[in-house]
Amino acid sequence: MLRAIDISTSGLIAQRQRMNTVSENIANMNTTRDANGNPSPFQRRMITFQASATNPDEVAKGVGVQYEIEKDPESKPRMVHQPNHPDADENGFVKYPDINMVKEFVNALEASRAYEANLAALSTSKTMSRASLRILE
Amino acid sequence: MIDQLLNSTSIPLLEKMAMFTERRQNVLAGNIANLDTDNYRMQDLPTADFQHALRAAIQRRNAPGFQQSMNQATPYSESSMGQASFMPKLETAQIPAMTESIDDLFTHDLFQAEEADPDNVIFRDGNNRSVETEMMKMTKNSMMHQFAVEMMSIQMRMLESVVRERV
Repeated sequence: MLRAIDISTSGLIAQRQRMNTVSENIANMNTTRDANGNPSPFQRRMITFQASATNPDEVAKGVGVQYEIEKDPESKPRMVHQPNHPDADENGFVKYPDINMVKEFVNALEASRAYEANLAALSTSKTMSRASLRILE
Repeated sequence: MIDQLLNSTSIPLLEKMAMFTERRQNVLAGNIANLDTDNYRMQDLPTADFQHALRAAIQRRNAPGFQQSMNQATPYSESSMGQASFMPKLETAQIPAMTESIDDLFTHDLFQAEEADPDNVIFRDGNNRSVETEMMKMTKNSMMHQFAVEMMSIQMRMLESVVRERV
């Protein structure tokens, strides 16, 4: 029963982390410089999930989830013509991060629903283990 | 003696049921944790097989030979001194099979999850999630568990009142 609680917790952590990447992306929507102040647009972060075990014996007992955060390889900077911008190149174009607000919000919504689902699973597990402990009462 | 007292109730079966539902809870929690995992397929324990095993166990318990051997297992006899005593007869050891536990019906495989819901839509990420189905399964499973635990608790209370000789 404690295993179920651990599994749901791993799900909660993963979804919260997903929410963090979404906020990171939205916060950096217009970031044109890196941490050192050099002109380099922020690259969209993406999170990938994978089951925490793949061997059939473990999967048969129920597995948690683990995550990895990487830079989105498909994200190409958005070029905007702004000759007065300090980070503009010689042609007057500024590279902005390619972040789609709609995509991020959908992601956030999904993360929040999945978080709720995990929370519901967790409270079911809790009720069950509490009932088991009370057999002799 | 207490073993046989317990085994004559449905506690052993309820115990299996509670065990099964707990394992199943782990697997269903795993499914929900992996709702967004690429290429993850929903898992479940073989519930139908478990129900079959349960039925087989009940039938075995109700078979006449079993009841008989249960009665013979601790014969109540009065010695010549007039003192009541529970004397296990020697030949009870030779009464075969029926008193033996039901463990052979509940094999290891019953507690191993396998891919479930082959009819679910497989999404583009290779996952065949269905949140509603999973939550419904989990609710049902939790109710089954509650039932098993509650029944066990009631039987325990009954035994307790027998031991105390009062309700």
